[in-house]
Amino acid sequence: MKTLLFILVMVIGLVGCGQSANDIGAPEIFYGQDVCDECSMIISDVRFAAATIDLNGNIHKFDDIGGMVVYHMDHPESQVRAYFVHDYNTQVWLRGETAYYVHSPQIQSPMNDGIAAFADEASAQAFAAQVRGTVKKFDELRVYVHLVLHSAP
Amino acid sequence: MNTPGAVACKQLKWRVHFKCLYGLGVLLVWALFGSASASAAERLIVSPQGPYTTIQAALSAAQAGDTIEVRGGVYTGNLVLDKSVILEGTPGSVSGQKPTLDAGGRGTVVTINAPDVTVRGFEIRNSGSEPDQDHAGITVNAPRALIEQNRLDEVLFGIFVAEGPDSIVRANDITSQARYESGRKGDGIRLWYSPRVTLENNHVHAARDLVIWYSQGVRIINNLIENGRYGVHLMYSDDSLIANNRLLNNSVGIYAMYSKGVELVDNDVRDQRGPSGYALGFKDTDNVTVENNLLVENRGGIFLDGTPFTPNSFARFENNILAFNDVAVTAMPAVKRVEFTNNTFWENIEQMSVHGGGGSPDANTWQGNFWSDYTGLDADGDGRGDTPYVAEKLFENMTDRMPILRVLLYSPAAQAIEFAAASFPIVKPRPKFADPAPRLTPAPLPATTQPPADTRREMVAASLMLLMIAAGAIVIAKRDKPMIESDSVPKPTAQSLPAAHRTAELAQAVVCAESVGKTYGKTRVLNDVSFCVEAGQALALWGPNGAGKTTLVKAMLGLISFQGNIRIKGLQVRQQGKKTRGFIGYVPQLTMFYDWSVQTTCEFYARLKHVPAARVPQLLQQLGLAPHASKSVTALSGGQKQRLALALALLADPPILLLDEPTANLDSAARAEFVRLVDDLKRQGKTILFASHRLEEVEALADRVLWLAENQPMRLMDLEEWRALVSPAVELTLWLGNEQRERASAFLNAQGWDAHLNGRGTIVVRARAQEKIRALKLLEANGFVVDDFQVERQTEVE
Repeated sequence: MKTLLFILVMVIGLVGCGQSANDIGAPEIFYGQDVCDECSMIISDVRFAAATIDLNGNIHKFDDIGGMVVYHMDHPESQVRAYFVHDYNTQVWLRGETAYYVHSPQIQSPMNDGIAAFADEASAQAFAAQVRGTVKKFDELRVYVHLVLHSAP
Repeated sequence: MNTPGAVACKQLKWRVHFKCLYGLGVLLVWALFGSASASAAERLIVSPQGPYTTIQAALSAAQAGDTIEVRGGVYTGNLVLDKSVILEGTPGSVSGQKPTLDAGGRGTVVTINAPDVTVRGFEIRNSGSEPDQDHAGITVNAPRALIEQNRLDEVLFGIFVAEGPDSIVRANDITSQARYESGRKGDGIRLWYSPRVTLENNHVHAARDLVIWYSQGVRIINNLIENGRYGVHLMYSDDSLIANNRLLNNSVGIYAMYSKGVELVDNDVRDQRGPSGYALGFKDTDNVTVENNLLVENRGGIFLDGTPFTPNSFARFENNILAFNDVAVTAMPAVKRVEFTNNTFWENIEQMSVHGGGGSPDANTWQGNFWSDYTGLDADGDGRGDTPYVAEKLFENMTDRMPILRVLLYSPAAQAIEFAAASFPIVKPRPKFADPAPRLTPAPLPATTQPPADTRREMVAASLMLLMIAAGAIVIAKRDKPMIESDSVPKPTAQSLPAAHRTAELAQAVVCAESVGKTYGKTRVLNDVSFCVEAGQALALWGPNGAGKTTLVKAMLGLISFQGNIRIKGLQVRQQGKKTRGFIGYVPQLTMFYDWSVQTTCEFYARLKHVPAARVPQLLQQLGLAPHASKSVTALSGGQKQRLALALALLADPPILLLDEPTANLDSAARAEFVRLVDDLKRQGKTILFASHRLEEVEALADRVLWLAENQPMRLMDLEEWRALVSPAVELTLWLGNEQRERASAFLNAQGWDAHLNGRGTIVVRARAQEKIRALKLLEANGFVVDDFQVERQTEVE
């Protein structure tokens, strides 16, 4: 019995240690209360709200997807373990690394970054056609923000 | 043959002819076009009775430059102005109401697509409400629009100037759709790629933000913006002027980002209490000038992140008043090169916070600011403190790193931590910054401060000014040595009062001090001062200059830190200073006033204290100022000014009056009049504490006296004991006839006097100086004839 208990504890411990980034839950954002870590403005619009959890377990919250990307460009000390964005249509959390992004000046986001996220490529393409935008994967988005948005108008 | 002279003559004639022809041509062009265009500027009337019954019909008929006058009525639909017309609403002759433009809940109410359009005098309502659309009351898509004197209600966005350079938005009343919470509403005013726009005299309320994005050279002047989210959100907009606005009760006041050349002047920003709650915030902004603003009762006064942003740029904060904010200035650790000069930091819970801790104390410049918690002195009288103001509280250091701890500020835990920091150098906090020569008096109010019309800005300003003037005296307690704050935790007991007595007094006391002490450096100004004052009693604070009277007054007002406890109506001054001050009417030695009339001054403070205006004439009457109500305060005599100060202190009918040598600068007649007034107030039940070193005031007013003297223990005494201490004794020598002498001596002794025969045919009476005449009168009243008298000897009583 003691052996079984020991094994159980070890298994639970190993499972805990082996938890991957995919298992991390999205943080909770208190809309109208929480403040964006990048621009210090109040986070109000769930469609564009984003968050990250870094390797130290710190949670960062953002009012705009562009702000999330910019923040981590400017803060290399905060290495990201997981990115989170909201699906523009359903407003559920998505992992930022695997989402599809539409950029268009017609998308009025809180900081006018004009970026919306989608869970699947088809939804992103449909929305891009609607707003005359372009669809990007996460790495493309980071490059785009770095080269275009972050260099200011 | 043409001689040179003839050729020249012909050329001259041609020039004359050409000039005449040119002049005729210009006249012809003016006649054809100029007069034609003048005749085209017509006025088309739209009203339910015609001639045009729809605005659209009039617009179809109109030419550029025409005026379309809309008289009363409700006009539905989405109006698109694609001609340069003036659309002017005039109130209906029957209803007296502005004409209404109503989009029926669909799209934008008025869209301006032509330059130089004016929209004036309408009620504009019911735009579409889908939050991801830009439905607005008025959308401007063309330059030089003039939007004025409209009322916009139930619109998602109010006025959306989308590429409308050089437009003017003036004197509009704007609110968003009431059914949405603030984040989902539209912006009251939004400027988008619209340079050189002027926003002035608008009232924007219960909308989301006032947004200025991608618009250079914008002027935002004299607007009232309240109950929204971001009062003004400026982004990518250079060379902006934001002046004379009032921002009340928004989540955030003015937030500027990614802009260069932002000037904020004479704004009143109060009660921004949202989650970040900054009155002013700056993110990556360059060349910032912030002057003469009032930042009052906000969660944060000023927030700085990446400002100034680029090298060789600046951020200057000068002559601002930051008062009663949770944190006056919050800066990110990397912020540097910011200049704070001549600002007034008044009773903010925390004066400066470095977000997340860290930052270099020398990163920014602090020069000549007034700090209400500064406790140094000005020995050389140059108006600047002789020791630096240093922000270095340990608990504040902790709250900077963990803002959640801020709720514990002023708690026993925080006090204990500060005590630990003071006692054990190992945990000494790191200074956040130092102001090497702080001001000892607050910065002057902005010159633009005017008597109130319908504004509370000036009321707050002047109230602060009064308080600050009072506080100025705190630090001018003349001492020979440098004064460094070294107060620690309170002592537990009041040794000067027997325990039973103290318990009884505590139960009835309105004001109660226990073991109050105050030390500047090695100089003890107050030492173990304890007393209680019951309702309706008057306590005199008696002692020479430098005895600590004013220090004690400031401690009772909660304006300085001190050892021990002071309770006002049971509340600890140290912890609930704002509340306890509400129980006190305070009259300083000298009150400074603006050049307003007595009436205006009183009304001003009445509004500030939420006192009905009807109280003003009543008080003026009571204090004998009614005949002077229309006089300028500067024309009043010293005594009248102090009576006015007393009137202001009495406005809210406080139960306690605290007077700090209020007659110090008055002549004897004015003094007597002032004392009479205070005596009346005492009879009406006010509890009075007054500092004085005038015998007649104490005699007239006090029930008890708190005797303060430098380097001596305090003494609390009744009036009789005080008289004995202050009055010199005299030996009065009386000459009476032989037949009466012995009987007179016996009579005086029988009446309680100290009298004896001295063997030289006279009676000697020992008495207090002020009573000698009473001895004479008593004898005469009882049939004795005093032939002569002489004051033989006068000695100070121990």
